[in-house]
Amino acid sequence: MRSTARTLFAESKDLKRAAHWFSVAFFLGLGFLAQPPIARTSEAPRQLPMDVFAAVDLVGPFSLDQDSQNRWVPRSAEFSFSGAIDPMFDGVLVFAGHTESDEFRFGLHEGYVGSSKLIPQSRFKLGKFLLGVGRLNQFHQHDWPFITAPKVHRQFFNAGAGVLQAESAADSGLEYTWNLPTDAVVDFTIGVTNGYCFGHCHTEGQRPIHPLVYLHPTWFVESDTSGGHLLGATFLRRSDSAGSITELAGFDWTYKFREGRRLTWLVQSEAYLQTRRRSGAEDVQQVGAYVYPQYGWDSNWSFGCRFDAFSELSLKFTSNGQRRADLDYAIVPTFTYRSSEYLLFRMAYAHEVDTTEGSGDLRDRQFMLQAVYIMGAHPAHDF
Amino acid sequence: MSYSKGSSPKAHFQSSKPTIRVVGVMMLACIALVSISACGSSRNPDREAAEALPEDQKLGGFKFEILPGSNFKLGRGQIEGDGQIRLASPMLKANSAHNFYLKFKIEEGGELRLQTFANSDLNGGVDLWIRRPVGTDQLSIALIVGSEERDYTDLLPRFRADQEHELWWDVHNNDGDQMHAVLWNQAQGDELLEDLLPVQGIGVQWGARLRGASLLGLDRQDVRDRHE
Repeated sequence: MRSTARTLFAESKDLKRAAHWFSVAFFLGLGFLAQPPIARTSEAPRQLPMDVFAAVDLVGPFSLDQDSQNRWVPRSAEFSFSGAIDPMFDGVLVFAGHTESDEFRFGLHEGYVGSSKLIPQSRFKLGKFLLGVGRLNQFHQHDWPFITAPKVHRQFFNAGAGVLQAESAADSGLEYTWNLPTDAVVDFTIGVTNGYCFGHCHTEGQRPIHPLVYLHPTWFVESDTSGGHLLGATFLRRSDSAGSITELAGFDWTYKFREGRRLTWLVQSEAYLQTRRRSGAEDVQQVGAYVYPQYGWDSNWSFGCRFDAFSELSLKFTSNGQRRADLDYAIVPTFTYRSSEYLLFRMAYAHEVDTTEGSGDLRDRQFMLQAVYIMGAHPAHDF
Repeated sequence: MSYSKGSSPKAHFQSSKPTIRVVGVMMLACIALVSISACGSSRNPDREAAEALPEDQKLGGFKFEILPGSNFKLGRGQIEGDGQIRLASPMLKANSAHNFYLKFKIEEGGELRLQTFANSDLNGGVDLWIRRPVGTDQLSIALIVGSEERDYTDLLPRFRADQEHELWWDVHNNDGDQMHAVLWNQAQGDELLEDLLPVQGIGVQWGARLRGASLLGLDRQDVRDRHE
């Protein structure tokens, strides 16, 4: 196929930028109309037909190895609108912007209609949404318990994005969740989405060989009245326009123990194995995991330390075809101070090391500061 | 910090002693783990194979193999003629990003193809194809990845056919499922263009194919566009 080159972003950049800022102005205006100025308590917005909030995520990385990144940036700003459309259906619209390559770009993050009343024991989403797989991927960056995503998430859900920019993967399609009629709390989620572009995208992508499909069964085990375990398994299969097939399988585990308003213990962990098959090339197999234990010594202060590991299992020496050992690991201690549920400050140190057999270790060490504030009514997450 | 009703700051401090101990232990564990440095093994058959090559087969610090059927004149850090070379220092991972530098001159009717992220026979990769068609005074430049070909000639400034040129080329073979390329003609300065293709190179090898061309400099470095 021969075509004249189109430079990336160039031809639609101005148009997109104008559309972005028009949308921001429109939704900000809508937000002001929906929410009176006095509505700053957690109770007031609930009386409104629509929950509206704005969330801002400010991050300051101070790298010891790549000091060109050392500056405060508004990593993301998000405007969210959610509420009942009618007695049967709910609607969600999330509009977010990110800093990337020194530009702040706005886009539609989520926009879907759903219902938990139409079909018994079921709920569904139709539109664009964060894919309901794993644990971290179901949350926006400002809701994560740490500042940056672990490498396993960056590689499998947002490949190509920088360490600070990596977020959750979203796509347009249908997601259906069935709550099994058993004594145990078991949900079974299945999703089918376009799959034109997965994760970090600058364009709309191209038609894949088949749509993206995923399964995510979960099992909630209540350990006592103050906590419990949420266990999940993920299977995701996608293709691209060039015919490569990517399969992702893994599990996630989240444990929470609360004492009143204090989240005494949080343990969050995910592990995945990804296989990518391409014609004319050997399969690429990668595995990765993280575990994040966090202890809260009151409702304001908490400390956690994330341990990450990632490896490309199919890596080989080119001269003799022998397997080449590869391990990337990271240790990320993180302090969090929550002034309230609407404001938090976080401080972390990320110590990442990339080790490959026969090659020198690559280190990336950085201190990070984060401030997240939310204005309005932020809906509660299930667990 | 909040205190429960009726409790004093002293009582709160005493009750929080075990929790401070827990956090202290977690912090010490983190510090201990951070201080452990991973030791990469020195075993590297790829490096040993590269070191065995003759010293005159070297461009920009990289040893290279001359593939069969080639007819090159080797100079100090440059090659001239017809044929194909494969650099003996492959990239670590196909799913990675690098900046490639090349300095070249092309005879009338000649061409130079820089091949990156390719398999061992230098196919299936991301290629920058520079040609000097007969009777023209301008070089043609195109990008080829799999069955996708993008002709950049009309989008780029004029590259005079009879002169030496330098290019710096970022190939991000890890931009999601896509390949992101950026091109510069100055060591420092604004980019000439950037492009995004829905296919990626499939391997870790890199090399060059020449016909009536001289490769006067070649290098591979970290990417210039870091996606910050």
